[in-house]
Amino acid sequence: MIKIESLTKIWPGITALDKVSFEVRQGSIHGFLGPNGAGKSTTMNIITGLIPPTSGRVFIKNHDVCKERKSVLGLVGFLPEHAPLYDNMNVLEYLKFVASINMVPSREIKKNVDEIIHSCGLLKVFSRTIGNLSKGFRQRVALAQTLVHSPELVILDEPTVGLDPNSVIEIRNLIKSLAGGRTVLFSSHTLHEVDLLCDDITIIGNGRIMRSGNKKKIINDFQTGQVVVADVKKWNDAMATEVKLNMSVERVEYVRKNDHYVVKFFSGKDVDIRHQISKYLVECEADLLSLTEERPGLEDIFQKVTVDE
Amino acid sequence: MRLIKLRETWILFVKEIKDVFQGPLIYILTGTFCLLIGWLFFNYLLGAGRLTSLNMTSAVIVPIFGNMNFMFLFLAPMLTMRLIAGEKKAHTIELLFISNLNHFQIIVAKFMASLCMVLFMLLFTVVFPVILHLSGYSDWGTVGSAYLGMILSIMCYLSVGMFTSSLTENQIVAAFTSFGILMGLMLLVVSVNATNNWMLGNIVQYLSIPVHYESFVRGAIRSYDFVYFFSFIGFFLWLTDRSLESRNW
Ligand SMILES: Nc1ncnc2c1ncn2[C@@H]1O[C@H](COP(=O)(O)OP(=O)(O)OP(=O)(O)O)[C@@H](O)[C@H]1O
Ligand SMILES: [Mg+2]
Repeated sequence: MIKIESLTKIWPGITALDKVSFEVRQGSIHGFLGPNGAGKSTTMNIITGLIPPTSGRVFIKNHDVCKERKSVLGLVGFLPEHAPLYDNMNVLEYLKFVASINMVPSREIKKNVDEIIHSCGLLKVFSRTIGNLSKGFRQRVALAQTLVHSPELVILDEPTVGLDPNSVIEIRNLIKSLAGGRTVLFSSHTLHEVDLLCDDITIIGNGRIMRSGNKKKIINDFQTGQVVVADVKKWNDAMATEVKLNMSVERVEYVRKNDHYVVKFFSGKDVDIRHQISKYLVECEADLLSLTEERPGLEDIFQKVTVDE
Repeated sequence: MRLIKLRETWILFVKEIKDVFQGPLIYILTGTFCLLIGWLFFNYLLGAGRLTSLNMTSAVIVPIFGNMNFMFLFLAPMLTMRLIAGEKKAHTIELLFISNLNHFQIIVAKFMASLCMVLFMLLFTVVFPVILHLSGYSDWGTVGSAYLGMILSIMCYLSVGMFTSSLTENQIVAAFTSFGILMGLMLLVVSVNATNNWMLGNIVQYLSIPVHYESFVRGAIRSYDFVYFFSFIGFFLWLTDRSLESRNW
C-alpha cells in the first residue's frame, strides 16, 4: 500500500530523516514508534504530500506521491499532529465541510457524516461549536474528519493522545474495526496500544529506521534465551550458585519483595529451563509460590533499540 | 469535472464569507470606515459651495474617492491578514492541502471572499451619489468609472495582502508587511518627482497604482490601465501560489 524508498529530509541544520525505507502492507494496521523528535510526524507529512522530501520517493498504491498527487488525493485520510479544526464551526458543519472539499458527492455527504458521528462517539456534541469542546472531543472530531470520505488509507499521528481511558478503548476499537478493508498507519507513544492493535511495526530513532516488519518476528528476534521468574519464600546466594553450576542458567538475579523473594533465571541458550527450575525449587524446599516465563515486550525492544543502538 | 471543481471552490468561498461575517472585525472596520468617509463627504460638500455638476466632480467626487482609496490602503491588509496566516496558525491549512482543492482554487476562493468584504464595505458609500443626485448631480459616468477604478486598485491591495498573509502565520506581521509594500508603491510616485530622469520617471509612474487609478476617477477608462491592474493582481496571486508551494513547516 505504502512503499517508502530512501526518504531523506533535511531541515536547516538538522537531518530529520536519513534514508528511511519501509513498507506498509495493504489491509494491515501498522504501528509507527519512536522517541520524541525521531521523525515520525515528518515522515507522515511527507507521505501525505504536505511537505516535500529532500530526496527519496514515496509510493501509495504504486503512485508516486510527489509526482502524481492527483491520483492519491482521495485515497488518504490524515490526522496531523495538530488537529486541523475550525474553532468557529460546529461539529456537523465541520464534517460536512471536510466531506465536500474531498469530493464526496452531495447525496452521500449526509449519510457518511451521520455514520461517522455514530462511530466516533460524537452524538452528544454534534451541534456544539468545536472551539468549546474538550480536548478529547476535539481529538475525536479530528479523527472523524479523516474518515469522512471513506479513504482506503488512514494515517493517524498520535490518535489517542489526550483521551480518557474509556475513550482510548473506544478509539482503539474504532481503529481495529477499520482493519481489513482499510490500511492504517499510526504513530503512538503508548506501546501497550501498539501491541494490542498492530500486525506490523516500524521503529524509528534519530531519523533512521531501527526495525521494521512483522511485530511477532521482531519480538522473537530479540529473545536471546529464556527468562524465568519464580516467587519463592526462601532464597540465598548458595542456592544461586548451585543452580548456575548444575543447570544451563547463566545468570540469577533476585530481590526481596514483602515476605518473599522474586528470582529471575536467565538462560543463555534457546532451551526451556522451566522444568528443571521448578523441580529444583521443590526439591530444596524453597516454598515455590509461582513460576512464570518472562517474554520481552515491546517496551524492552523499544528501549533497547532506541537507547542502546 | 469542471463543475465539481467549481463546487469545491464555492464551498471554500462560502466558508470564508461565513467566517468573516460571523466575526466582529468586518463590522468594526465598516463602521469606522463609514463614519470617517461620511464626515469627509459632508465637509467636501460644504466646501463645494455652488452645486453644479462640473464643480461637484472636482470638488467632491475626486477627493472623496481619493480618500476612500487611501483608507483602503490600511483596511485591505486588515481584511486579508487572516486569510492564510490564520489557517496556518490553526493548522487547518493542512486540511485544505490534503483535500481535493488545489492551490489555485484556495487562492481564488479566498481572494473572492476578500473582494466581497470590500464590496460590503463600499455598499454603504452608494448613499453619496444618491445624495448628490438629489441635489441635481448627473455625471454618472464619472461615478461609475471612479467606482470601477477604486475597486480595481483595492483588488491590487488585496492581492498584496493575500501574498503577505501566505508568508507568515502571524496575522499582525502579515498586515504590516502588506501595508509596507503598498506604502512603498505609493511613495514611488513621490520619488518620481525627485528624479529628473524622464525614462525612469515614466517607468516608475507606470508601476505605481495611484497613477492608473487617477485616470479612472477623471472618467477616462484606458485599456492599458486594465492591463496594469490585472497583471499586478495576477503577479501577486502567482507569488502567493509560489509561497504556498514552497511551504516548509
Ligand atoms: N519545520 C521544521 N523546521 C525545522 N526542523 C523541524 C521542523 N519540523 C520538524 N523538525 C525537526 O525534525 C525532527 C523530527 O521531528 P518530528 O516532528 O518528525 O518528530 P516526531 O517523531 O513526530 O516527535 P514527537 O514524538 O515528539 O511528535 C525534530 O528534530 C524536529 O526538531
Ligand atoms: Mg510527532
